[in-house]
Parts: sequence; structure tokens; C-alpha cells
Amino acid sequence: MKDLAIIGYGAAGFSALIRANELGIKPVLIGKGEIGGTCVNVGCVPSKKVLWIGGVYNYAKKACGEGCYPDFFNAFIKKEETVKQLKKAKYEDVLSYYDVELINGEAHFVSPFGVKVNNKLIEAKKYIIATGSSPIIPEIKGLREAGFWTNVEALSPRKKVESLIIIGGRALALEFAQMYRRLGVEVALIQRSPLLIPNYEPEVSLKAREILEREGIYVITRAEVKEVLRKGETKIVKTNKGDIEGEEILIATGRKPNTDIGLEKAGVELNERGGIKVNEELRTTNENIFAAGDVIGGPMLESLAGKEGSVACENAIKGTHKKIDFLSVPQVIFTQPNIAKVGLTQEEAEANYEISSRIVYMKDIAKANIIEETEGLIKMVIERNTKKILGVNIISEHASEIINEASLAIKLRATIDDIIDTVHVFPTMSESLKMVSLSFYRDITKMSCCVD
Amino acid sequence: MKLRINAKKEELRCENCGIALSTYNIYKRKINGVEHYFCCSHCADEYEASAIRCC
Repeated sequence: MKDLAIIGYGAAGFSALIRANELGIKPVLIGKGEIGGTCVNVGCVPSKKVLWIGGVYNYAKKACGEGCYPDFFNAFIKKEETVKQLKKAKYEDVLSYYDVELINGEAHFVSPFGVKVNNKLIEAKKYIIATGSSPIIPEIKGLREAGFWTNVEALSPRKKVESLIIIGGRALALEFAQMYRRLGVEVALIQRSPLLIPNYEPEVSLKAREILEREGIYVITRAEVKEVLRKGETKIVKTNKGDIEGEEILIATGRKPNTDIGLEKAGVELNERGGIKVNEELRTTNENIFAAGDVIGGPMLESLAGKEGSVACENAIKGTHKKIDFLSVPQVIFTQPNIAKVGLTQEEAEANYEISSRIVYMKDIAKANIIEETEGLIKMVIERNTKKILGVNIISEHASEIINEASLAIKLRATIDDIIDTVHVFPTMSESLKMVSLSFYRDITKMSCCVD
Repeated sequence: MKLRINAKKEELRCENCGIALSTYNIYKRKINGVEHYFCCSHCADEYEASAIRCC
């Protein structure tokens, strides 16, 4: 019997593998499909690459004052080069540095301690399930007959499209909307909720919509898709708000955990989100089986998956009781400007705390003016009496960098005074975090640079 | 082909007083499990009180 079997070789699986070796264990690593999972193949890495290419041309457009777009196919060729390079460096080569038994194939539990892979039985004392997630395809009349893209096809298009209809209004939808718009494609975005990204602060959601619309993306909200029709080479999306016709449809309505691995045979139950039910230590309802990453059905984030893989492995092997501080886990939408959050929104915080909140607009941040990126805002929510920071939402240039400091502050249960007492570099966008902290005490629009 | 659009956009308005919402005045509250949007907490209080009376 093996000591440890890890099912899935994406971020969570690899993190578990490395931790296992550090703890003196050689695991069996079972995976199917492209090594590296969603992130490096059809997720974060390729999407951020194409977004970055569009961003470079957008800067050029600002500087030159003329419309210019990258070559459509060349953008995806460059993306593929980066995917190949990072997949080799971060996954294929990494495998050779560690002691592991790799098995390519699909694992299915046949008992509480056994899986079958390629008709071979493997038994292990402990398991970590890290099988990731797949796109949710909504049941819409005519959709399957008409055909559609998911993130996979949208990151490797076989044809050049002039128009794209995106169904969905969260992170994936926003990133693909801007990505394709900046490749010169006309884009419409159909969202069911009243706001885009409804899990963010509403001020941030409205600003995001404003920015996307200014780039020429057509956004309709409170829209219910009734039917999809194919008309020759085009597709028509019929909604309660009217019809939109375009060349292709991208489904970006979320992702579902990959749990079709015979969990019932192992006594592993699912949660209300359709993911694997785990306790705070990432232990499933079978005490010898742990789960990590998207398969849990929580926030589907690469960095969180990596952390979970490591924690699950340590708890499984050492019998420790490590937990993850979910409050301080940041998340980012890599549009330009970035959209980032950590902790609670005002609405979430109000349910359990007496709170105060403040907003600072980027036009009041010196660095934003210097780099001519004054679009956006930062909002902070604190516990009124203790002044502890409960949540930060940002939409601004480089928000993906700024949010890390906010994340650390929440992890350390820091107060706004801790941020204020920390000298920040001037001029930086990170100063916005200090300014929003100061704004609880004074009007920051009436301050000179670096006043403390 | 370019997009052909025959779909209406909808401006987000305060569900209590009807004023147009922007990044400067939006306030969100979940009432009976549904997210609602207002221009301020006072409008949300009024709306919530009338919702309770209705029920």
C-alpha cells in the first residue's frame, strides 16, 4: 500500500507533491489531460498573456493617439509560446526534481482506500483529491445545436471573429470581454444580475462597467437568455431585453468542481456547492481522504489551490491541524485597470460587525496622476471600534499588486493605524491603501503630498 | 460580421427613490436573501420597512 496518492496534477496536486517530498514521502501522482491543469494551460497564464498584449497596444494607442490593435492570430501564437515555456519550467521540469511515481490516467475510487487507473488497482493510506473544475454550460434552448466557445476555445481560436457575445458577468467574462475588444473584436456582454461582478463592492462593479463600456463593449444587465439560434455563419442570442447577433458565443457562467471519480465508493460526500465537502483542515467525510483546490467548490483561485494542496498534504501526512485564513485570501480580475478584493464587502461585514467604510478615488492619488491612470477607486471597510481592517476592494492600475499589502494587513488583523504608521514609498499606487486608511480621520483631498 | 444589437440597456436606479445610481451613491443590501440597490442606507431602511409591512 502506498503512503500517499494525489489525484490531479494542477496547482493543488503539484503543491501537495512538493510538500510530500519535503516531509519524506514519495507520493503517487495520478493525472489526466495536460500536465499543469487549468491555470497554465487554459486559465491564468494564457489569459493574462493575451490581456497583456492588448494592454501594450492600448498604451501605444494612448501615446500615439491612434487606434491600433495587435495581429489577432499572432497574439495567440505568443500566448502559446508562453504556455509551453511555463508548463515546461513550472511543471514538466519540476517533476524531475522530485521523487514521485507518475501515472497518466483517470482515477476512480473502488473502495475507501483504493482507486482504479487504467484498470490497475492502486491502494494508498492517504489521498489528496485535486481534480480541479470545468466550465458550467447552462441549459439554454438551442445553445448546444448552435455551438459555443468556453475559455478553452477562446484561448485558442481556430477562426478570426469580428464579433463575440459573452454570456456571464463575472471575472472570466470581464477578462475575455476586454481581451477580445483589445484584439479589435466587437464584444457584447450579457449578465443576469443587475450588476457585473456582484461579489465585489457595488461602486467597483459600476466603475468596471463604465470602463468596459467606454472601450466599446456593449453591456446588458438583468438579462435572461431565452434561446440561441444559428443563422448561417452567425448566432443570435435572444434575451428578455432583446436580441444580439454575432459571430461567436462565449459561455462564461462559472465553473463546476470535477467530482465524477466514484466518490460514493470512498464515502466522500459533496457540499451544497457541488464540491467535495471538507472541514477546516481540508479533510473530507472519509478521514483518510483530503481535498484541495477548485474541486472543493469555493473560490477558484490558483494561489489558493496551491496553499490548500500544501496544507492538505501536511495534515494528511503529519496529522497536524493546519487551517487556511480564508478572510485574507485576495482575488484579482486582470482587466486594465485591475479589479481586486480581499476580506469582506461592506454588505457582508454589516451582517456581523459595527462598521465604517471609506472610498478614495484614484484621481486623488499622486502616482495615478503621474502615470495618467486616474480611473478607479479603493474602498476599505473596518470594524468601527477596533479599527481593524475587514475588507478592501480596488479598481485601479496595478491593483493586483496593491491588494497583497491589504491581504497581509487582514492576515495580521491589522488596524488602519498600523497602515498609517507604516511609511509608504512616494509616489506609488500602493499609497492608495494608506490614503484610504487616513480618510477615516481626515479629508485626504485637502492634503499635500506625504502628509502623515 | 459586426454585432447586430436589438437589446435595451437598463440604467441602475435606487429601488426606493428612483434616483440613478453611480459610484458616488450606490448602496447594496440583501433583503430576504435578494440583493437590492439603493442610493443610501436610509432608502434601504425605508424599502426594508415597507417590505416587512407588505409581508
